[in-house]
Amino acid sequence: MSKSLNTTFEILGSSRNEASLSVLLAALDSAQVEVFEGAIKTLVSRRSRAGHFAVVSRWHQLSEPQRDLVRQGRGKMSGGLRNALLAEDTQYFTDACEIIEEFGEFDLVATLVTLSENRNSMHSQSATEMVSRLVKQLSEMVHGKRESQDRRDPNAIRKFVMESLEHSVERFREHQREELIEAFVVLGGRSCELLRTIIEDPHHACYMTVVNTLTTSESSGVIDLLLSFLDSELPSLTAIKVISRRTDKAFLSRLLELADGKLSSQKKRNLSRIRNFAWLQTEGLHIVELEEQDQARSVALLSASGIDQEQKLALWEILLRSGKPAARLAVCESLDEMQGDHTNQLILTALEDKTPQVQAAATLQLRDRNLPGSMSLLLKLIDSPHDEVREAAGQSLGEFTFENFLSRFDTLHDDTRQSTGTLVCKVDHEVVAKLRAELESTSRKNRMRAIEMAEAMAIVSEVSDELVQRLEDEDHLVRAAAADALQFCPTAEVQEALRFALNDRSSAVQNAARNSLNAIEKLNSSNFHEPTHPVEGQS
Amino acid sequence: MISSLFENLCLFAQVNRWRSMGSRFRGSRGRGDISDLLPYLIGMVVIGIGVAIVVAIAKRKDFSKPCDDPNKLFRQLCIAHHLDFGSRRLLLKLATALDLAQPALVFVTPEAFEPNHLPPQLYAEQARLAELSQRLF
Repeated sequence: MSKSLNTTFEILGSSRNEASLSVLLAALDSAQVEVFEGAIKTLVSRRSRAGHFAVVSRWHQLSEPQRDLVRQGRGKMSGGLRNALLAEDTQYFTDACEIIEEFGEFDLVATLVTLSENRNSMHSQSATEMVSRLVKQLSEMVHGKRESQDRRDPNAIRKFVMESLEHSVERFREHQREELIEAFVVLGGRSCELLRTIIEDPHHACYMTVVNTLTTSESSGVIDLLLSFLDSELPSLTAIKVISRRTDKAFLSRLLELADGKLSSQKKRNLSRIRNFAWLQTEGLHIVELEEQDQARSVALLSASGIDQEQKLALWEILLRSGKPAARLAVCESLDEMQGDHTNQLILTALEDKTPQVQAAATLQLRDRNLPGSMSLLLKLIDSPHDEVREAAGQSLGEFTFENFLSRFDTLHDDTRQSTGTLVCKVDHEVVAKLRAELESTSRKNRMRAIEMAEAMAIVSEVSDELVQRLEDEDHLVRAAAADALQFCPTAEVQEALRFALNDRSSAVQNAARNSLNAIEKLNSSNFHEPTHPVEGQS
Repeated sequence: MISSLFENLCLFAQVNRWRSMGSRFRGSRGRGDISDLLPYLIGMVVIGIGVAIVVAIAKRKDFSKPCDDPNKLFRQLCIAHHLDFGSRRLLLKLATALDLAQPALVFVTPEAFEPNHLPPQLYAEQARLAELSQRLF
């Protein structure tokens, strides 16, 4: 556009002379593109309902760059748009609707609701559809999806739109437009007093429409509204029923998301009122066909629900056999709160799971259930190749600690000492450190017992340096016991120490050292002939 | 009521006596005459006309007030484009000849300046109009 023409439109745009509007409207009919676009741009910027209407009525003729000029008037053209909606002209109406939807001109919902209610209007049906689309758009804005450059407050707009819709609900008997009631529910939310009243009153004219919307709408607003009832102290029975009946994936996905993290006690209380979920019986939506995360979530959710225990266990069994690892783990964890033969059977099934975490979760429950053979199972599991399982078995065999073994050691039979000692070594990971402390005890009796315990637990080689020091113990019995125990540790250092002990002042120590050296020599010679023979020989 | 009317007539009858009483205190120049006020009146009328002219000029030049005046808009656009008196007259002639709804429309109607659209009475101004068209568009 030339500088002069630009000056003309600047004057026409800023002038407070009403005559300029007629000039601009006339310019809209110009064949010159520059003049036409200048007129569009100037009319959009002016506060003039007639001017805006003229622009709106040409929307369908505009090219995309020309529409960009109109877009600059977003939020300022309500008057012109309203005129176009009410103009009883299909082209104007269509143009206005297109702009309203694109601009998100929610101010016009009230006009559209009025048009929708008036079934004699030629645009009644289109206005209804437009209200639904605008309400859906607003609902998405309220529940998160919002353009970054849009600085409008969605909640303030929502409040304004809700006023129109509430009036429409009150007039439902006259207009019978169910779509308007749906729009009201979509945008309503739990704070809407009127919506709560309708949900609680089955005789209300809108009750069936509201329930139908709650049951079928996939709008975020409706789903949020339904799920919010689970946080209510006195939730509507209707809402609880609808929650149990819905089977659509959009709702189910949101419902299962509730199980992320810990369920609040209020949610648990309300979930326990649900005796059945329709989606559990829906074809094509079987629990094992859910995503891994959703399977696990469904376990947490169903555990809190009020569905029959046998039904739950049947589901858990299916999941344990065919579910994904996260679900099998969730099942095992949820079984912790359940008792009975069926539950015990499921725990035993879980022990054979191919996922170590599932095995470990089942292992942790073995002891408390007092299952026959659980001890022998734990003794097997303590040697599991998986760290998690060994850890869980160790936790279940918590009483097999070094301290307990120490306190009962003197009362145990030799065979029991050996079997228990081996178990203690597997369960208590600090055995070596504790035994070293015991070997340094000031009490001769304790030191003697510690040497015996080292032999019983077959960990002589791990404390050999400590035993070598005991060869210089002040007590000859301790020295002799240490020399005797060291026969199971055929290292060069130990042999050197034993040779030195041959010169001990006590003949008992000398004999023990000699015997040990002989035993080591024998062992070495047999190893020379059979190099694969185990070095640790006492067990 | 008749008596009160009679009393008033008696008072009017005595007016001449009061005049003669006052005549002793007033000179011949102190006599009131309407012609004495005439210069003041003329002065005031001139001042009033002057003020009205100033106000009218100010109003004519003031484009900030809301109004609905096509001629004023034409003037505003002419001023914005720094058009001289001759050019303004020519544009007005063009608007009139083309029967435009208001003269300001010539600023958004480039076709009006095209030689084949010119009315016969403006053929002679063809060159100046072409120059104006160049200037305005």
